[in-house]
Amino acid sequence: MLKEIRIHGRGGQGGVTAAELLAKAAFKEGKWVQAFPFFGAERRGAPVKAFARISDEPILVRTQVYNPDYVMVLDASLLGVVDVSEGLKSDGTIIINTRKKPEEIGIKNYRITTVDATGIALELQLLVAGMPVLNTPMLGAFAKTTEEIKLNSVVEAIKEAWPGAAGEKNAKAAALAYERLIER
Amino acid sequence: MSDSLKGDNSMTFLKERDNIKEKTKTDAEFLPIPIITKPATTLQNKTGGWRSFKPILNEDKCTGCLTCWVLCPDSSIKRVKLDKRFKVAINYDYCKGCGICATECPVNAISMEREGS
Amino acid sequence: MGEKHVVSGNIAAAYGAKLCRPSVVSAYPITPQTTIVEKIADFVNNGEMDCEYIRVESEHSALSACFGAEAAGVRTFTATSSQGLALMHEILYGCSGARLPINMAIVNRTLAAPINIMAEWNDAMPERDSGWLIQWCESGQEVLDTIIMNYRVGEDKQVLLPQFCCMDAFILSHTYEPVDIPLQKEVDDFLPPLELEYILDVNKPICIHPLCDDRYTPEFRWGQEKAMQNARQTILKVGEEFYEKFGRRYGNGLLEEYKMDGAEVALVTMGANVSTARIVVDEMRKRKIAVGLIKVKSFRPFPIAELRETAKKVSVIGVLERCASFGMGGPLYTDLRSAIYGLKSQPLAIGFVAGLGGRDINKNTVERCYEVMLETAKTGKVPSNFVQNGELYYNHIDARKE
Repeated sequence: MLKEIRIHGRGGQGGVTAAELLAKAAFKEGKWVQAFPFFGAERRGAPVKAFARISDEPILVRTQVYNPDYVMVLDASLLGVVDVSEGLKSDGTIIINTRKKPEEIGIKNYRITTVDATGIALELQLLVAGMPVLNTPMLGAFAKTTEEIKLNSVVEAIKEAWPGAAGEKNAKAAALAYERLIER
Repeated sequence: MSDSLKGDNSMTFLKERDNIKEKTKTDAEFLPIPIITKPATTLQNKTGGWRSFKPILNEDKCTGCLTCWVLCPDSSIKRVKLDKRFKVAINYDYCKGCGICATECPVNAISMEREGS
Repeated sequence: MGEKHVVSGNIAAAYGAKLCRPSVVSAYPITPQTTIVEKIADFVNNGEMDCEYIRVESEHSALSACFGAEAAGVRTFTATSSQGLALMHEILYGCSGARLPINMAIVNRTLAAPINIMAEWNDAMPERDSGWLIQWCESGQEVLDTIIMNYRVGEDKQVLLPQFCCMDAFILSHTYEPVDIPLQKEVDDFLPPLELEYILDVNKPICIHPLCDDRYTPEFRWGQEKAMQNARQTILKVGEEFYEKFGRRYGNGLLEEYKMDGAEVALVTMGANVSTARIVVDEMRKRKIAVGLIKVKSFRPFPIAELRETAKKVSVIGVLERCASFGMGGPLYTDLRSAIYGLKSQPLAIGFVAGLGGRDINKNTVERCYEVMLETAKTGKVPSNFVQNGELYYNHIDARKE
């Protein structure tokens, strides 16, 4: 079983780190993993893609991800700019950080889940350089949506990445997003 | 591997590449050379769409000190000349919502509000 | 007809450049090319040459200045050697990728370490992948002629590639010999003014050498390869025209065979080595020994088709070069082996490396190469103990051991 994930974000929002943490969380559950970015323009705010692969067997393929099983969108403003559903498998899922509900998203024919990760970050005052941290709550959303990884693995991976109070807060954000995820 | 590279799933860049190959016709008649012949402009790129937070100006509090105008990294604050002093206006087409103006305003005349969906 | 003068290879290069009317010459000195740019400075100073002469602060800048000027649509020229060429390395790729037909004279000098000003080809060889046209010369006359022909070939609309004109340090650059210097009018007839389709112009802004990614770059690279393939034909055509106009030719422009009829073995080489080898071949032929010589003039594009044709004629082919690719043999040797791979009558190929650091490649050196090749032809096996104090050594990748 090989699952491929594509993450859409803007430079500086932690999309690349999200892929890494996702991989680390899956690794804790005994999976083989890969995580890598793809940059367009190298600057904050520019659309960025990150990819992850999770598999029960060693992953030998080293190409770009063409047909993801799951797509995560860290910034809803990308929806008008990038075709986030491109290449997505017909039974794939899109997980979006937005205040809107899934049925309000203008993408048809795919399973969509949503969570207000920005709101969660602001609620917990989970900010870096004044900007809300989006990647950790979205990982909680990923765990609930896909059930490919457990929330606990996500929490452990987060706490290892940021020991101490920062890790606790980020883990809380992931748990809140897990709880508040909205299905169609 | 079942879904990979099926016709209906081909990635944008493969399509675009074929497009360029068609346009540039890589044969002796036309040699593709990396030159951009039509210049673009950053005015076309309305970065206002990037905002998560929007600066809102309280005109009554504003003293026209122009600190925000000087510091805006995107030239998204305009000076508006009144009789003997200036006021400012924010250009929301390009403002990225970085919040420097709000942070630096000496009289807290700018507040950042959540924006976007 | 031109006028014969006794000049050095460097002066001949300067005359070649002068006759081609470049608008910009950028100059930075390095032994042993300095007299090229110094002579051009003289030409400019006494009004014989009407160009912008830019004294830059390094070779990196020298080539960058040519890049900028050529991008603005004017013909340019510069010259360098050794460390200077190495310093230009990143700009070399810029010029070929941006398809600017800059003309550069290279006086092949040893790359440090050790510091050494004498002849070696290891300065130009690392640039063989750069996408520049690379031509090697065996005489001052050929240097002058090649600079003129390089402009014609490089500026051709189906080519648009920058060019090297290579000559051995001191052996050609500082050796005075009679050289026919064509008249300005003759060269004007042969080489029309430069006309590039897209140039930097403040009234019609474009972007040259832009940021790009995987969506477009492979097609641009294919353009470079196609241009190199087109250059093959263009070099042949220009060589013909040059012969008609000036009465001189260098093989077919890519390669020349010398006394290959009935040859049992042949030596392939470039540059000044060829001149010396001609004498050896003559002498050996007088002694009824059937040897031949192959001169590679165009190193890039490599004369693959010509070499495949001519290699069929012999049972053993040797390559003599003044450079090495440590761990694999000489670059000319490996390129030749690649070129003749799979020939039904593929000869045994031996790679001789000599003259590194400027040690003289003389008649003895060349004779020794032929001796080894002739013995190989007789016995079918390359003689094994073949290193002469490092001065001359050989490589032979024997594919037939199984």
